[in-house]
This record gives sequence, structure tokens and C-alpha cells, in this order.
Amino acid sequence: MKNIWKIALKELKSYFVSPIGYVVLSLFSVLSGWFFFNHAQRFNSLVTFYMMSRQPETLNQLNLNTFVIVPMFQELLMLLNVFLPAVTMRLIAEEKRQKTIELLFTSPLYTSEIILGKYLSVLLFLAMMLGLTAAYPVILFVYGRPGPEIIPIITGYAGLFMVGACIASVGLFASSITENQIVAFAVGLSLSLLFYIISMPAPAVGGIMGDILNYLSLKGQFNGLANAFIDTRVIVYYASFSFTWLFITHRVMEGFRVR
Amino acid sequence: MIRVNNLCKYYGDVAAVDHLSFTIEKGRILGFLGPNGAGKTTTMRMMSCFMPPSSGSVSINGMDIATQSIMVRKFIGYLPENPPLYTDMRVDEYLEFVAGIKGVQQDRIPKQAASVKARCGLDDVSRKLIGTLSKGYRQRVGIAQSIINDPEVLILDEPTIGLDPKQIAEIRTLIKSLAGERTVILSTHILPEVSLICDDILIINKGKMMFMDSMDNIRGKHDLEQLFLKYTYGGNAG
Repeated sequence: MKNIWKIALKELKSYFVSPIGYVVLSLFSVLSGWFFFNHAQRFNSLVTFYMMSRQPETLNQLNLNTFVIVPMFQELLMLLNVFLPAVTMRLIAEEKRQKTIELLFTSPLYTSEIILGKYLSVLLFLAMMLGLTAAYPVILFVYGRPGPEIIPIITGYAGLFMVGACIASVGLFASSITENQIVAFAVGLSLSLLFYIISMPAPAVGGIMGDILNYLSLKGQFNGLANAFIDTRVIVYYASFSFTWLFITHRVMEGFRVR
Repeated sequence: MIRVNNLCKYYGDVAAVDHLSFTIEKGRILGFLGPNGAGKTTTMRMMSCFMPPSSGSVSINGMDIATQSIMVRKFIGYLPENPPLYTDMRVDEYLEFVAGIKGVQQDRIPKQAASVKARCGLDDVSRKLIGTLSKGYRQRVGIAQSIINDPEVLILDEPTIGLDPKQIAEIRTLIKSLAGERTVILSTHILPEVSLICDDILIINKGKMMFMDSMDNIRGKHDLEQLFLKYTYGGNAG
């Protein structure tokens, strides 16, 4: 456990020694802020419109959760899909290219400790990314009359974190198969995107196959959480998804050693 | 003591290391010689637990590198051909990190880091980014990381490559001073260096052991260069 923490700390430091930490955090805030601003703005126009046209029933159906927070979460998910592979791309690829992997592999560390340490560092970074976006719900709580409900916000964030963890595990795998960071980024991005949109043909396919595709989709699993439906199957899905990719990464690293 | 027994490593069908067997007594400095591609680096990588052997075994102080790998690694210092440096770290930070993952106890790390820095002449650059250091300094940081856990066995893969004559002399003195309690295995192409530092000589070619003897036996009787050419190129090269 101590060793995992030592590796994680080293990685976390290196995000902020290189520009990558600052670039990712600031661009992520700019883009997510843009999404938030536009949803809040649209909500405002809708409220004004229905008030002017005196339709109290419709007006009552408007709420900040459905019209601002849920769509924003959907977009944050898409942003994570792009940004997280950029965070993970160097984690193992760079160790291979700089040959520092020889140091790690000849130190008294288990390969699993190296992988989990690096994974933990991404999770902490992900928490920072999501932490920055917490400003938006806070704004809604301060200025919204009535404000949003808090439970769907909490479950939504938990969902974002879990999907982020899944993307990070895929990104880590992509980083383990190459020495080239660009290749790692492309593979990580494509794989996580694939799991994001894998359910697209589900309605057309239908039947069991359609159910499977729906079940595999990172996006589909997230929708429930964003609306405060907590389903243990979803948590099992996320945990086994991450575990599977970390396990494959472990195999790849051990294989690299034998070669 | 290091005991290498029938060590083999195959890359596909090619044998990079072919049934290598030898023993090194504690406290000796072994000069590991051979032409490029002879299997020196592969052998050292196996001894340092970087890669497992295809067959055969290595035991270090009675512990097997395959079955007790994690234990063995605590007693080994390893400097690969390319020093494994994180260029975005400062020297201090780097040594602290390496000490941590090598299992040096937390409260002993500052003392240990200070002592290897003094030994390797790194006091002046301890706050510098490794990426900004010259090749000579990088090599020294590489050696510093290999001895930070006070290893009983030190494996150095071409520690003086690319250094100027003064730096080579310094590193040589450093290695001499490191021996004694430690067993050192050193690969190099610089033969005069070998005769100055080493107690034993091992020559390999195409993964096979060609010659092994103590320096005391060689001195006066044979010329090291002649010996090297004889066992690696059949004596008719050059």
C-alpha cells in the first residue's frame, strides 16, 4: 500500500511539473463552464417565456436538475472521454521510452503496485477536475429559486467519477502497449469512445444482443445515476470494467518484462 | 556471493545468453567483457531481476532471483546502460523517490541521500532539474541511485560510457571505494579500466562464456587486449 502511494505521489507531482496538469485543468474548466453557461442561459429564457405566456403547469415542470445539471453532466462525460486519455497517455509509455521502467522493474515493487499507483494518481487528478466543476451547482444553489435537488447532483458526480475511473483504466492500458504517447492517446481515446457509443445500434439490433450492447455502454450506465437511480448492477459494471482493463494492463507489463 | 547456474535467455530462436555458469565471491569486482551484442546487458538484466531467465538460475546471497525476486531486489543496486532518470525531477527529489521505492526506511532517507550525494559529487547540483544536467552528472546521478539502498551487490552496465577522461577517472575511484563490502559486476569496453579496477575477468561471446580468471593470474602473464581478441574474435581481428 505504501509503495502504491509513493508511485501515485510521484505521478501526481509530475502532472504539475509539466504543463499537462495546468493545461488539462484549465481547458476542462473553460469548456465545462461554457456548457454550464449555455444551459443556464437557455433555462432562463424558457422560464421567462412560460411566465410571459402564462402557462403555470409547464412552468412547474421546469427545474434546474433536468434542464441544467443533467445535460451538463452528459457533456462533462464527453469531455472526460477526451481529456482523460491525455492525462493517462504518458503514464507507462514515457517510462518505457525514457527506460525508467528498468528502475521500477528492478526495485522491490510488484507490477500490480506500479499499475495501481499510477491508476490512483489519475483518480486523484480526476477528482480535482470534477472538484473544479462543483462551482456550477453551487451557483445554482445560491441563485436558483427554487434551487436544484441535491441527491441527483451527488449521485451524478459519483457516476462521473466512476465513468472517469473506467476511462482511466482504458487509458492506462493504452499507455502500456506503446512507447509513443500519441499512439497511447489515440488508442485510449478510441477505446473509451467506443465504449461510450457502443449502444448506438442497440435499438436496431434488439433482443438479447441489444440488451448486451446497452449494458456495455458507459453512457447508458450513467444516465440512471444522473437521475438519482442507484442500481447495484451499475456499480458492479463500473468496478468490473476498470478491474478488467487494469488486469490486462498487468498482463501486458509482465509480458513486456519477459520479452 | 553470486552463483550463476546454466543461465539461458532466448529471443525467439536466438540464444542471447547460452548456458552461462560462474561464481563471484563476496567483495570482488568482476569485469564483464565481450563485444557488442555478446549478451552482457541481457545477463545483467536477468541478474538485476529486470527480466526472468528462459532457463537456469541465479542466486544472490543464497536467494533465487526467480522465486525470491522481491527480496533479492532489496539487496541489489543496478545502473542500466541508459541511466533511468526522470528528467523533470530535481536531483534531491529523484534520489528521495528512488530511496523510497527501494525500501529504504523513511527516517533514514535524508541521511542516505546526503551520503550518496557527497560520494558521487552531486552536492552542487542537488536542486537542479535532471534534464538540465550534463552527461557526466547524469551518469553520477545514475550511480547515486544504484547505491542509495546500500546494496550488497552492485551491477553497473557500462558506467563510464560517454564520459571524458577526467570523469572516467573519478567514476573509477568511486567504484573502487564502493567495493570492499559490496560485490560489484561491471561491464565495459575500456580494457585499461578493467585492469585498474577489477579483481576478476569474465569474457563472453555470443552468449557463451569464453574465459574467466582472476586479475592476479593474468597480470604479467597475458596482455588483456590479446586475451580479449583471442576469445572474442579468434585472435585475428584488428
